[in-house]
Amino acid sequence: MELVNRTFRHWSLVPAVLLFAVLTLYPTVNLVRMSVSTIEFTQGGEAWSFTPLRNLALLRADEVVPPAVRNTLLFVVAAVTIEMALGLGLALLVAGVTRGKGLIRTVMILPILVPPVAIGSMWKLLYNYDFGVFNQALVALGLPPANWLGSTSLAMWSVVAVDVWHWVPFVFLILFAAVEALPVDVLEAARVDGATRPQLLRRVILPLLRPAIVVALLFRTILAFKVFDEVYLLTSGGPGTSTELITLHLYKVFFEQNQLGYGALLSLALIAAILAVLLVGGQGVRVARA
Amino acid sequence: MSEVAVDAVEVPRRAAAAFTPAHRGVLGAALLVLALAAVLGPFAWILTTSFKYQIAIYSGEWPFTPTLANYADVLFGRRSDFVANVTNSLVVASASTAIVLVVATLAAYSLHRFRWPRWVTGALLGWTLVFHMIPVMTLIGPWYVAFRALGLYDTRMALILTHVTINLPMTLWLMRAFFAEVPPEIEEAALVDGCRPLQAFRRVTLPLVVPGLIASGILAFIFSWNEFPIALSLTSRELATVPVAIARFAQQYETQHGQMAAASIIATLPAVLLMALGQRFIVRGLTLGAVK
Amino acid sequence: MATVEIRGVAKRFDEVVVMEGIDLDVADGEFIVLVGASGCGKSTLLRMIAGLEPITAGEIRIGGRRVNELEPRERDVAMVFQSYALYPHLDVRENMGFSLRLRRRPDAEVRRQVDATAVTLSLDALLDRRPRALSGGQRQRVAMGRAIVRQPQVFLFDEPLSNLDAKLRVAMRTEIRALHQRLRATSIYVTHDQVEAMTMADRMVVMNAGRIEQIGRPLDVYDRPASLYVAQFIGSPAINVWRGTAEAGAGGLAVRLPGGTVLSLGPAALPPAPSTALAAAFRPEHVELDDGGPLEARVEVVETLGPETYVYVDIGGERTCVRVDRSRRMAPGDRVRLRVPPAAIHLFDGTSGQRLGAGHSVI
Repeated sequence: MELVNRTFRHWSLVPAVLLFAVLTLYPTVNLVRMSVSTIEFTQGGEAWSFTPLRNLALLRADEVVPPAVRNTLLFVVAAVTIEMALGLGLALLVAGVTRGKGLIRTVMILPILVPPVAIGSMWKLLYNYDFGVFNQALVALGLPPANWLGSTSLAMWSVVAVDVWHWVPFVFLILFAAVEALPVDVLEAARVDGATRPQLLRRVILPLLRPAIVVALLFRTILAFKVFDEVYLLTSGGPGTSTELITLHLYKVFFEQNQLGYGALLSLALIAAILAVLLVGGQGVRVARA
Repeated sequence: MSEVAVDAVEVPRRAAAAFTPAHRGVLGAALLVLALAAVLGPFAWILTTSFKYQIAIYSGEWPFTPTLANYADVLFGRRSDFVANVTNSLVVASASTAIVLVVATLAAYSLHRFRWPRWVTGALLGWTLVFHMIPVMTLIGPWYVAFRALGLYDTRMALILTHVTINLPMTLWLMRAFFAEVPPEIEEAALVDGCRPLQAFRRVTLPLVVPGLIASGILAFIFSWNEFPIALSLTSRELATVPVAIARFAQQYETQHGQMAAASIIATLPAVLLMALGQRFIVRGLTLGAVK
Repeated sequence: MATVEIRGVAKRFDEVVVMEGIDLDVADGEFIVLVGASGCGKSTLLRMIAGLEPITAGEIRIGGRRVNELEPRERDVAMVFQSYALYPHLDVRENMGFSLRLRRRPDAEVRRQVDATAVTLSLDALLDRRPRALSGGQRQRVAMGRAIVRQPQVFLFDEPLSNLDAKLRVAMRTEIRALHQRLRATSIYVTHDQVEAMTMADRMVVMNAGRIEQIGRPLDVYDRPASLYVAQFIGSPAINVWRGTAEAGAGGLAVRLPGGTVLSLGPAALPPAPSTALAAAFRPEHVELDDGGPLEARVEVVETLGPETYVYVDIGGERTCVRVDRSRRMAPGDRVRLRVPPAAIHLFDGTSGQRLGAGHSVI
């Protein structure tokens, strides 16, 4: 017992480090190994062969990658922009509300707690061409029904809409808390100093909200790159490749094409891209906090 | 002489009063109602759909005669293993939550209390942060290979271990924040009173962070329950969790919309339940976690 | 003419009426102090003048113009907040120039104004700093600078010195006063500190529970308090109050105290009916040591302040404060005889606290 006590300092940290090292560091190293190999599963076990060039060739030949990258970027930019705008706008406009804060928080938390898969299946039904509520509404208004998930031009925006529904409440909650924390007398001083409402917003409120906005933006952007569940459910990348996102493609390469080596190469590329965004974003946060 | 209340003369000044006059308040309230409706609307529609017969769904019949057939089919139907799926999810979520709470709480406390050199704290926190940001799909490949080699492919253990890994960053950061709120004098008093470090932790600090444990526990459980990509890739039919089952429903039974709706509602129930019970904790945990 | 007229103003929060029947006229260039305990409504009144609180009833005019419906920015007033309320994301120069930039004044003009004001307030070395890098006193001066740059019709001060330590407060008091003498701008100043009120005001407004108790020049209020509340609020150490019942005596009116002591008031112009509850108040500096005096006192506590000494004595059960010259040595337990000149006694109705009769003036 005494030994346990004396070394509490050490062994309390060890499980986490060990676990994490084994399950993240080791696989990452493995990724590098895999990216230059081809792996085949045989009766006895696995067969590794050193084939870096083959994997690179697969990458160059992969026709899905360019649209996947484009779609992912488009998705992230569109979804995050809309979510930030809506979340911020809602937070500012709702700031005057005095009662019902508990209810607001409860309802707004809901989309984040629901399994994203369920969100995907729910919206698949909502978007259904024949009986989905959106087309029912369109038809009731005398308009033609829309092929939400089946049209190459519309599908991506339908997917973006689902992500917006999923995450605006969260952005709203963060920014709403920040708005509530604004120093009241500074705002009053600005009003006495002569600020009209637009001036108040532009010159005092938004600058004071900048740290919270930057945090929400960075958070959302990184998370947007991780989207998988809803897209898998809604469109599985289709129609064609119009909603193919990089994570989805990665899954298909690994588990439908069974190209583990090439998939690892793709994974490394994706990790590098994310890290780049993180670095740029991190600098942005540091600038904003100044 | 009319009433003059001395105490009430203190004015409550809210941000609201500072920049929102009366008519703006109405606009804000209206928008709020709209937003709430937008969030709840889809759930309501799916709920009604889940109680409809297939024909009623197609015709958009309103009002309609409700039925529990969809739920019965999903839960007890011959082609459905839903009960098994729920069991799998429960086991994996519970086990991974328990493990991650223990591991992350100990680590968080260690970092908080035991003045490690800065590179240690920075390395661990930064590393967990980085892995939190990376899409899980990138790691699933090597996990797949490793687990297959170890014979752990398609086992609950694989799911539990991976779920612990992905929930570790969030739980670590959350528990750190909660530990930071415990005044250090309390632990120092315990040490002066004769406790050894482990005892001080168990008897004094731990009870004080119980709300944090609950918040982290609930969130870890929910995220494990909701987890999809890993479960999809690393398990087969018998060990499928609830999200995987839903995905299969959507794909195999594309025409069984009522059952899809029912399955979605069932999958949402744990979240609703936990929210009703632990709402305060969840909100605190999520907003604390977001501000890092 | 930057006058402020407040007529019949009342304020209600939901069901509760917190202020009623407020009438006040502030002359152009006057420095008026609203003084009273916490919760008396002085800050609320100030915020109504500024436009930060809606006016439930009555009217407020600034420069002759009715402002009830006007937004703060349309009233041409500047306000110095208790917490200074500086813009945290702007430096000192931008803080002070904020209002001018809102009005789109040319850069050169803004720079000129800000620099001139900064020099007046000794802020010219701090112009590039952010509020968080300033001390409390420096922030307070920036807050004043921000108000001065605007050259408004009326300056409003909401307890600006409350957050400063004692020494700084005294220094800032004189600075504000000096500034006012130079600028001659109409100023309305709110404080709970009666020393600030006495030393800074051209006229004082003593408020209590949403009502105005008295308006007047500081020394007038000090010498002739209109109510017991004012008498007790103004003056430090506090005025001595003896409560008793009226009695007709040989020398005229007298107050009989519960302990048996009788305080002679001399001939009174309007004698209250016998047995009326009375409160007789007199200031420590007006009590005379008199070996032949009618009041017998036992010394309890002696406080030596330096220039003067305050002695707390017990007279027939009444704890009383007496100011004595420092040359007079006293110790606890000493017995002395005292006399209170009737002319120094302020008489108030024991129930309502209102001043009684014109008869009693002060030495």
